Amino acid sequence: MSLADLLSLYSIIAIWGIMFINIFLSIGGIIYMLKVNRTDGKIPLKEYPMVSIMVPAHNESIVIRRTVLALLNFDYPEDKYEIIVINDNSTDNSAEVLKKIQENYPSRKLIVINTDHQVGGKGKSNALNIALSVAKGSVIAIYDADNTPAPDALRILVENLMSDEKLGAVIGKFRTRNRNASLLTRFVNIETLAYQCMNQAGRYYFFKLCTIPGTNFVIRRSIINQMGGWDTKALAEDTEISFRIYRMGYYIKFMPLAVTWEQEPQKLMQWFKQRTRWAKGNIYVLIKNFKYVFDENAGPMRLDAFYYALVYVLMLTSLICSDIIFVLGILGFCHVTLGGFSSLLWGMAILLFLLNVLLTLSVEKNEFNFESALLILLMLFTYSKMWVFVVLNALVQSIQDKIYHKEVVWDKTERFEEVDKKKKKKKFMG
Amino acid sequence: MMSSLWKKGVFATICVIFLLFSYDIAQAKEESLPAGDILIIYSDGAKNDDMKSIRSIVEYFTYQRFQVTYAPASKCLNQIEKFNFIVCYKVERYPKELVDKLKDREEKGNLILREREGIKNSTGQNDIRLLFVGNELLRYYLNETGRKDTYMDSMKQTGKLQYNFSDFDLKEALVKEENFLFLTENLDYQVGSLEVGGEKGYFCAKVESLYHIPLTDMNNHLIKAAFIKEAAKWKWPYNGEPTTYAQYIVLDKVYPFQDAQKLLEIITYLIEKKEPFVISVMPIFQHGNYPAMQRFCEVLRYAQANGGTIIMHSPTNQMPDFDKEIVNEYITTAIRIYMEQGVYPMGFEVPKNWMFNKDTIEIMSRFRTVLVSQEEDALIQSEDVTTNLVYKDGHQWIAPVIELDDSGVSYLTTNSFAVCFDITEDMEKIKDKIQACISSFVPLKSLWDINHSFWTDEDIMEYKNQIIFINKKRVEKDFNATNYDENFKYNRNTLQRYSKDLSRINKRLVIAVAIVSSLFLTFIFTARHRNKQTFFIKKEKGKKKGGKP
Repeated sequence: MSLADLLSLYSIIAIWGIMFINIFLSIGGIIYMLKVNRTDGKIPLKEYPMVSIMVPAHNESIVIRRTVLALLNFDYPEDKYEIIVINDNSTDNSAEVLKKIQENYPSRKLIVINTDHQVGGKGKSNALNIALSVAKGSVIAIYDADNTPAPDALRILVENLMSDEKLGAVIGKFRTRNRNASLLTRFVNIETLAYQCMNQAGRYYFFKLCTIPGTNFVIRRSIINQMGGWDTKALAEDTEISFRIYRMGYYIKFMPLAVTWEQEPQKLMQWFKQRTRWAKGNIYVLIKNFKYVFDENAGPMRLDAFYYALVYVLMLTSLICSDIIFVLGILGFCHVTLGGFSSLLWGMAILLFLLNVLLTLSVEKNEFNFESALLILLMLFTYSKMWVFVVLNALVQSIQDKIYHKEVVWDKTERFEEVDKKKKKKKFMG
Repeated sequence: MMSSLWKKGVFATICVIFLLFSYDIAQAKEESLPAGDILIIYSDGAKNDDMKSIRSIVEYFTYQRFQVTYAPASKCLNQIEKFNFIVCYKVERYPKELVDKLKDREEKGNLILREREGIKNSTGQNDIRLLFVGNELLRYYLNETGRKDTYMDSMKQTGKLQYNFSDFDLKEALVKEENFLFLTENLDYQVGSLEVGGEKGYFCAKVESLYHIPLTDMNNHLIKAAFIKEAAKWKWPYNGEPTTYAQYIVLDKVYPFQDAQKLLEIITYLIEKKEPFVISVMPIFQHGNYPAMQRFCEVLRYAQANGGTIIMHSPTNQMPDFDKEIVNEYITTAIRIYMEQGVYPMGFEVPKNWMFNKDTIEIMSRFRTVLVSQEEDALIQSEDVTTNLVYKDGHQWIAPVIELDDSGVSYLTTNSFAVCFDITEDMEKIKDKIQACISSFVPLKSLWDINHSFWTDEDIMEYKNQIIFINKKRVEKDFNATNYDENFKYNRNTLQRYSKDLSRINKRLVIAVAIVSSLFLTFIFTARHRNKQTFFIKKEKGKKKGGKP
């Protein structure tokens, strides 16, 4: 058996193994989604808790107005929530934009904390810790600066959180606001629905296991206090906090009816930078928490740590191997002589990938169509391949950070001005 | 002054020592030329192509069990008188003294011939014979010995050669040479015809002790075959024709993974025709007990019990630095595997250049019967030697046939020849070739009729008086059918097992993918149906939920 055979065998087993895990999660996910979609997601409370909505922002003047207005528009008792925007060492006119909103809504609890480079500018976790120091709510809600949540999102999240004492946090679903902006955002939209939404639903359905996505979620203040705030070293503070919640004996619920819309990167370089940051964060979390895979007291998070290990070690290496063998095979440098190794395997894998993603899109409005099917196939051979480079880049950067002891800083995703279709139409008509 | 004289003295001494040393080496080299039955003299600084032809001649003399000495003209100048059979092959550059030396030998040869003229039952064992192959040297030699008018020249470069191998087998071919020369006076013997520009000459002719063959191109099959036939007669020291050797039907390079059914079909055909045959099997180094190998060996045992003889081909050499110990280990393993299955190889097949390398000669020395194939081992270098080293091992040779037509059969009886068959060829073609062998004037022979022996690192085989002895114990070559193990355990390692099972898993995977796909499609239809319902119900109620702001 040659090295090419050995690596092919490894790739086949790893890829098919991970694919069947995803199929399993998708089946759980669709059952949960169908079940939830039959309700409105609301569990009315006698008394609503005080909620502090925290919005970390760094040079977000392009999108922050829209976000804050959406937050002010929540279908939630006005006196029961406050909005804390941490304008973290911004060099743009975010402060002015926010001040204007404060002036326009004098009766609302909108707190703006402007930090300078001494206190701020040290990443999202640091900004959230600053906001926490002034927050009054017993429930903390987090929204990114580019989000426009649906009016009922906060109510659904809070009502679900208060319905079970063992719940540490409730997360909602996020959608791509600018999905038609470019081919890249279309891919991101499909990826978000398939691998972040359906995957979360499946894990929650089978194991009551979720990972906080960084935005559109509520968490008990007591838990944050107990864990001493956010880990400022973590780049993926959301994943990091999820692991800590499970270790404390709470669980996280996924509620897909609480929807927020966010702006995704429209250009490849921005996307690459953002995903590298995410991957670096996840690698940090994996290294920090992998020990819990073998800890019987770690509860369901053992599965999550194991899943991360599968994705970042098994999936990554198997994809690298199979891609190298594929390229070398085309160039005629190597030849796989493995018994049973055939194109049928790849054909079936592609079919399952297509159906799996289509299944995810089928529960959404205006997503399930022929165009999406073509996009999925195109995505498989282009967008999905870039994931390998993202993770490799993240690995290299993580090693460099470790060697040169680099501090965590804002690695902000560049925002884009979005044109409102209705306004555009009016302009044209006028 | 003294210093300068001292330097000159030292320099002169070094020169003298160097000259003496060089002379000693030259002398030593000349003296080291081994004595043999035949001396082949070739041009000083002969080209590679000429050396190939010389090695080809040496190869065929070896098959006829002659010890051959071959060297460039200047090197064997002082050795000529030691040899009775001298071949001057295409000698174009040579020292002038060569003519005198050859003349001495010719005159002595002629004297011996005259002395035994009229003597009955003279064997001619002490005859001295000179064979000139090519024309340059002979022309100069005849001129220098005052025989200018005993030959005819032709400056034409092409001719038509006709030669009879038997009463019914006249073969002809176009031939090329720089120029031609034919002896014309007092010919004692001439054979074949060579037509050059309207002039008719011979392929081989003789005047007393002097023989001449005007053609030198040993790549031409007809020239080579005719040369071998004439040379065999020429060096036959007794009266009458040389001994007649047979040809062997050889199913060549049969691999254990080839179609055993096809092999059985050919064997059955040969058995029905009652013709002896040889199967040259490729060596196998592991998995000798696998069912496929058992099936293959069952066919071989059947052949072995019905007139077929098995020989083993040498392992395919892939070592740039040849290691004879490793090859011997491989051969030992392979032979052991076959013998454990009741198959007893009687000989060994090797590429033809294995005859000219010390390491491969050493490997071959373990086998009495050696079949030489037409192929060459590209990783083996021929030794720069002056004798056929392999002669000392006294092998029973089977030479590759020199094909003169499409039938592929032998037209020579000078030594044993192998007519090789590729078993992957069309059955009808194979049958035609077998028929040609049967019809040939060269008899077919069984390897079971002669004795064989070999030894490996672990075993000794001896076949004599129709009995096979392995490590001095008698073994039988009777055919016994194999009892196949239905549940044979391959004992593959984990990875090999996974690889093997992958084909089976593929089928299961197809079923799993079909089930998952059906499940996914069902979910997709359900989700779409629910979506439509929810949409219409909500539209009716005029509600908005989670809509895009």
